[in-house]
Amino acid sequence: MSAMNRFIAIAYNEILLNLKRVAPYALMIMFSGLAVMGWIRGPAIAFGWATNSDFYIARSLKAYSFLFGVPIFNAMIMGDAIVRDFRLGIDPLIFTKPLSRAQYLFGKFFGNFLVLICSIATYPLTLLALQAFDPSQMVMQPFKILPYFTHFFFFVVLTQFAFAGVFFLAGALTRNNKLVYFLALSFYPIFISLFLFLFRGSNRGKILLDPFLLNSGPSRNGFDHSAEYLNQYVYSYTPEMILNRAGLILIAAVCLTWLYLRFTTADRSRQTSFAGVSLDLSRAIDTDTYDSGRSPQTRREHHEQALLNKPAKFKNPLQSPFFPVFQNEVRLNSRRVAPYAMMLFSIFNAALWSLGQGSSYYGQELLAKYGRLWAINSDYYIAHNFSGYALGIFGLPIFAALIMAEPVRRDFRLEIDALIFSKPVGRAQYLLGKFFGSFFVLVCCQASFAATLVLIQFVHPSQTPVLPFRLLPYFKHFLMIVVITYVLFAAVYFTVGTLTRNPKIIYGLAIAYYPLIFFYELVVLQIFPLRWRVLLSPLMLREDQSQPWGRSPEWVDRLVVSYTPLMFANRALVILAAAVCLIILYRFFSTTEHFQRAKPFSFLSLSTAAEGVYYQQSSPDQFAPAVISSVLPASAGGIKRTFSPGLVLNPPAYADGTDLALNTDIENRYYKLSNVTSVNDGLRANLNKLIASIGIEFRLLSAERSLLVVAPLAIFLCLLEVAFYPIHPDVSLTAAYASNTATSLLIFLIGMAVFYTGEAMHRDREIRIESFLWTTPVPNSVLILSKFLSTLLLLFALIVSVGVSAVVIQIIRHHTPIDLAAYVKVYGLILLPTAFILTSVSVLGNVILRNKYVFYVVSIGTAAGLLYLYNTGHNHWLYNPAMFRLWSYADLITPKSLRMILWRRAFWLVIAILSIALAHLLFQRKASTGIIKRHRSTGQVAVSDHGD
Amino acid sequence: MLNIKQLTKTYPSGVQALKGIDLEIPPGMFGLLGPNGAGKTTLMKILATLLEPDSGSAEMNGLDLIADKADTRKILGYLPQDFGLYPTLTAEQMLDYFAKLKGVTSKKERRSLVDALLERVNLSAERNRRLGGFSGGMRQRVGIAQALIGNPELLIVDEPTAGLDPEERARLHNLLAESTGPNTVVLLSTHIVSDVSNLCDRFAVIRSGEIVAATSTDAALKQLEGRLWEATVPREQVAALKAKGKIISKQMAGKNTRVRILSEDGKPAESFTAAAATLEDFYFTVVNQA
Repeated sequence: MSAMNRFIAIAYNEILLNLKRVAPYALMIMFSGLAVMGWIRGPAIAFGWATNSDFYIARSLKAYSFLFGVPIFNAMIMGDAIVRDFRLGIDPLIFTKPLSRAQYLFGKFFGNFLVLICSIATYPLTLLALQAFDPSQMVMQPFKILPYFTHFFFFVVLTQFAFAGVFFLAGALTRNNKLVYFLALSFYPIFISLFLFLFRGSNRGKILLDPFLLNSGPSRNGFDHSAEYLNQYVYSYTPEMILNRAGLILIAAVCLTWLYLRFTTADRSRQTSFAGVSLDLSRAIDTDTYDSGRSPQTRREHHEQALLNKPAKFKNPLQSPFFPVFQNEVRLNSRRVAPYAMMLFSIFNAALWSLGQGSSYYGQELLAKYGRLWAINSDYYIAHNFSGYALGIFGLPIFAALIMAEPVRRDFRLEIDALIFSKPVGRAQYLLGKFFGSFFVLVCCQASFAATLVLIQFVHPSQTPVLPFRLLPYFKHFLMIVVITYVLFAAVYFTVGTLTRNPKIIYGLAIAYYPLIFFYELVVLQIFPLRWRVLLSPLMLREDQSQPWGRSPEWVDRLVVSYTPLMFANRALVILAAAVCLIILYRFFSTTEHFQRAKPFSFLSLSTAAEGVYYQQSSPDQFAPAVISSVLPASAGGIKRTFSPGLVLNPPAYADGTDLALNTDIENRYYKLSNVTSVNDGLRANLNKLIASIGIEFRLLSAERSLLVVAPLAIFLCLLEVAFYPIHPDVSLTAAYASNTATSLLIFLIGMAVFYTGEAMHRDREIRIESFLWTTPVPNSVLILSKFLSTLLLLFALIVSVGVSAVVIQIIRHHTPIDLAAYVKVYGLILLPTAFILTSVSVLGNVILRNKYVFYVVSIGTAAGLLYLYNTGHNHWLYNPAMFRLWSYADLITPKSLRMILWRRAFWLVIAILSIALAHLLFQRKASTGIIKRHRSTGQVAVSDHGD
Repeated sequence: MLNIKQLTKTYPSGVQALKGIDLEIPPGMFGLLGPNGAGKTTLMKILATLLEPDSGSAEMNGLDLIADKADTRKILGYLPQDFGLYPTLTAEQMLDYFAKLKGVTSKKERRSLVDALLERVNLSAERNRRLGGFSGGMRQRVGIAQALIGNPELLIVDEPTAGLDPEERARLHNLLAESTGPNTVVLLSTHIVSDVSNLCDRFAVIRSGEIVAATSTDAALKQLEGRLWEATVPREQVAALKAKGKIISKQMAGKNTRVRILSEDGKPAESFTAAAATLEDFYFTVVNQA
């Protein structure tokens, strides 16, 4: 077999494998749908653009390559190609064949890339086919074919080729598809922030660096030009554009070359480069021998004694167990997603915070009053940024909890604790190694925020004021404000996480940080004089409260933030508090399992008194002393069954599994359970079952760990604006509060309805309890409604929580009187129906697609497509069930508008109910009684796929 | 009595899992033996209303198990081969939930039922412990407990002892034996012959979707009586023995091989002695039939 044939075989196999996956077909359908939707509802009709003009074809394809999640789908297909072989354990079968690395890798790459291209080609092909239709209101030029292919190749294929190279490389080297998906997801925020802030105004730079060439062609996507001009416009590929494409091909080539050089077929854990991962804890006593037979001490006591007996000499910390624990913790964290997510989040926030100053409310005031903003690298502004970051406006305490609470708990969860604690590693070495290893990772992640702020001094929009380059203030303020503050928080999380080993408590604590810190800073500390306030604030209040508000930007730029002795004392106190936490931990830390300490050992003594044995007649002597002579009648195989007073097992017989203890007197020993009344028919019985199911489903939903982070974060972000920013009432203050929170909550409701419905609908199958549930006499309606209603209940709880919190904030801010009717109107007409509609549609989506991940992908794609449409002005209630940007509070109090909104809501509620009914009809579980037509004469059964 | 007639099932992939199964299963414990992939689980799933057959019928005391799924589920207890439990619920909560789903509406009755079930499976001490922390054997016992709710007339247990240690297997055998009422049909699917020999009076052997034997344990052994021979012979002689009878099993014994042969024509060779038949011999005989 030639090399080319092997390459083709691998590529062909990839195509075959992908043909059996759902994803490519789902993509094809979705992209065709999007093409049709864009064709019908895109801007072409409104602006008089010809839908098959050269300009419009290229414009659509550029947008397509960027929007609708094509890079994410690219990651789904390309990132999994190699990982799949290792995951399914086929790798040894493949790599033992005479196959070269290049044949394998390139076969995989090009096979999958071909599938990807075929999938995404449905978009231009659909556009091509749509030329056959000529709606009266649409401008259409003579039929074209070539531009669809040339532009598709130039704008889409080459772009996706580079992405494919990157994702393929990441997937093959890390063998972690989560990382690849994360990479794909993080692409959007990075790309958008780069092009919004860093390349603002530089069109040439954008064309050279933008992988999608979004800024090529007519300016402002054609909106600056007339329809006649655009319909005549012919795209020519400029040298910059060709250079850009060459760059993309080069990126893909570099990725593939790198992969070729670095790829290894060995199991990752066996790679030599990972040999250092071992804890290497036993080095200190390797020379010491221990004989358990002679020594009265345990191994650990013996080693500790041996260490004490060693002559005292300078101990290199790198050779003590502390360092391997530290090093191992850093390595483990380097393979988690959380630190990278935190870094990206920090980078994104640093960029947004520094460069988005003009969009903030105080930035608007500054621009209006002085015509300029604060310099982004003034001493005050640097400290201001770090203070906000440390305060946790962007969720830093939650990330800190994620990183700091886990280290010791992880060892117990993965049951590595026994391996570690059987080594001669001291408690202090273990705990400090864990703490500082994780804290080091945390600080590195936080440093990405500082590093971004430093870099923004070089790369910033031309209108942003910047003072001469500086570095030291960043280090100084980062250390004083962020690092030292988080020593304390980290120590608290670490101590609580290690002592309780309960993730709920830790995440609860992380979420509770916000109310606690605000209560402490705004209520408790206020009763003390200023000096004490400065001393006792973990976030370090400044002694000189120089308020920049109302001052000119020049004054603020000259302001220098200095640290007084009292502030240093505060920092010292914070470090001391952290040390106290760690000492408490050292004192109370135990290596034993929690449940073992809490409960006495229980002995499972199931019917031991009546255990019996049987034995082969050929060797009765073996059991003779143990058995009583009550021999039962001979049974199968000439086996004699006898009773023994206790459990007597035949150890040698265990090996073949043929000889087991048995209580044989079946007829006499039948234990009938007490009779119970079962009611399975009728509305009342089903209602009882529904209530029971909702209770369980809601309990299971509440136990979702993600909820511990998502729900408080949603509440916090929904209330952010009303809590910290000025409120501008249009109708009334309450109306502003209700409308504001409802608008923010709408986005979370969409995401949570989709996600938690998916979890509820597929949980039974995932944890393999479905066969239990489906064999109980429960109608399908109960199974479906319980999942629907429990998710709805969860969303209602969230809505109520936001509402109650908004009222509390209103009271605290003295924005009274409170008009509860406004909340009821807004939440009752906008949020509650939205939750109902989205949940029911999600139930139907899950029933039809039957795969959670396919449903998520379809939902994300649909939501992205719809949001794109809404943002381009095509916002209609017929395809906007959430009423996103289709209402204002004034509409809810104007009778005519209110009537219209009520009709629209009623329409969507009917759709929602129909969705549930359809979901019931299509539900996979069968419960038919009358629909099956049985042909008894032939013995044939024709089954129609209907639920009950 | 459970009557299964001409049950067939072909999966969309083209695999013919059941090729016209005919079985009559009386009350009591009935074993269904067969190698992996023989169609045991498919048959179980059809009887447990989880899978539609292509043709055929299954009736129990006048109830059509294929057509009347809702009614079937009222008399059914099912323990699948592979199942999970809600890890965040306790054993008590889980059983209470399933009792509610089985239509036990009275709270008092439900409580006493759950207590009795937990007692029966010896999990009373663990009633408030989360199921996520249960061992394999304990999970299996919870599975049995939920299957016993409502004193089912048809109890289907699919490979209940797979993956359990010998002690836990013994406990499960006892539990099953003790839970079988005089009118209950217990269908026990397994590929472990000793499970059947320990528990069942009658059994069937299924191979490639067909029933190749359906008999009582005594009758099965009687069939082999006087026809089974055993000897330890040098390895190189094993091939030559094939002409003298059907080799049922071979087992290495140092440099020699211990061979069991089914021979219609008496002793195959001088070195052979008559061997007592076991159910395993019967199983190998029917499964390896051409």
